[in-house]
Amino acid sequence: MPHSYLCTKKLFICFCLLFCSSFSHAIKMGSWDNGKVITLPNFIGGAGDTTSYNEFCVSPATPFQLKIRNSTGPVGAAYSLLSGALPPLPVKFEYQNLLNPGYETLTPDQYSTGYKPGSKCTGGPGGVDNAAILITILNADLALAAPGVYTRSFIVTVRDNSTPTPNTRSATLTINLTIPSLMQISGLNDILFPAFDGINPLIASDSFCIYRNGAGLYSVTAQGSGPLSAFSLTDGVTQLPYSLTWNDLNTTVTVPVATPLLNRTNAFTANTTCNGGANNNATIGLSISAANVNAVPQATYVGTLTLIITPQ
Amino acid sequence: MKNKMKNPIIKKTVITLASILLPITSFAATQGTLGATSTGTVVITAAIQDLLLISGLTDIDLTPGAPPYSGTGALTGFTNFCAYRNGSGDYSAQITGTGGLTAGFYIANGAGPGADEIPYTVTYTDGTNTYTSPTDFVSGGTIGTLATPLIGDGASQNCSTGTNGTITVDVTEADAQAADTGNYTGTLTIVISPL
Repeated sequence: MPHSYLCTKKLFICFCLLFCSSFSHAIKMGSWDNGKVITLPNFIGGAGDTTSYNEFCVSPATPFQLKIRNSTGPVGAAYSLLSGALPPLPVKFEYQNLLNPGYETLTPDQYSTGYKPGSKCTGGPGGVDNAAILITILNADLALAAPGVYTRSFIVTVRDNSTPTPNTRSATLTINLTIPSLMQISGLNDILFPAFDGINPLIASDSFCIYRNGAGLYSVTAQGSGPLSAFSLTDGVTQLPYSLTWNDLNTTVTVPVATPLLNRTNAFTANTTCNGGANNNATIGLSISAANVNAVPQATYVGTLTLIITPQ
Repeated sequence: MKNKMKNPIIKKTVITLASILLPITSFAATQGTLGATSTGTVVITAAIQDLLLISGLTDIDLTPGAPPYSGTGALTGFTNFCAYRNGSGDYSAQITGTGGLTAGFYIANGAGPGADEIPYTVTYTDGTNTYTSPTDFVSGGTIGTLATPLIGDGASQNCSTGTNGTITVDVTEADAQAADTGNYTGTLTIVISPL
């Protein structure tokens, strides 16, 4: 027995004190004791990382350390979210003790550096949380991840500095993230028609990158800057129409005005730039007939072509 | 009485003239971003220069059918043509006669000593306006102005396979009767320019 008491009339009290004291140093994680579920907002593109900041309270007021590991898989394996057979999505955990601020990036299944204060966690408005976990998934990883529902449970463990045996407490942290089908068009260049030779139609083209975060078809909707989105250039007075084709490295077809052209193929999935343009996978072809050129006065004709790419 | 002239012919010349392209303002395409849809834009530019074409001209034979001048009557001949000028169709024309012994509207039967020449007049019409030398222009002169342009076809280089102008060459009876025997030839050069 770690303690000895003169137990007489107060046998019950003595027993209670002994019983209670053996739990007086139990470490808890407040609301996280029963598990914590974090559903991250759907990744919809954009430039930023996905982050989630979550506070909780470790009691009692004894110094503690914290570690996180995947709930399944090899101990010490890198943090990640899973979606079936898709490649895992890397996750970073950073721990901050609010009573001793400063973020520390966690290593799987390795306790945080040093012991930092716990507290009584008495609750109330404003809270008395003393710990926080910052979850980060990098935009670069999100952009290249295939669409799907990613999830995983992690085991969060805290331990105090009790000797000879530290007190520990573990809780399950579950993170969910949905990545929908996403696309990006890039590598576009402005187009300048060549000079008219008096006989042949004017021909111009541009090749660029169509990226999709997973296999699948896509549609393209093209809108010109002419009346009713017509494919047309203008000098401010006169319209000079052109025709448009789309080549997806599989077929070349005429593009209708402001109407989705479905079932385009060969979207690039490895990165958003098609290897910096080296593997551009779409080409638009523009043509102005000789008759149309003949019919307009001398001038510079300008227009804008808008291309909208959507996953199917 | 001089020997009668034989077969005077005016040769045709086809001219196309284009102007310098206008300077082009630069723009920039916009790239799409990663998302449920992605939108990119491209700026397209076409600089269309002045385009003109005179075509359909044929040689003018003042004594058609190859017989020599009969000695009676004036001589006349014409060619229709298509003048095209993109857009408005407005143009001017510079008409120059060469080949005579004298600069101007002359045909000649040779170039050396003893050669003879015959003057002629030129009438140019675009179907609306008619200009006749020497009253309205002389050789090397220009007809058609911004105020009173010559009107060509503004859409079709070949006037939709038709014509929209006529050049007529006339020699007076007196000049024809006064000419020495010989085959007289000369050249009319028409240069059309945008207005």
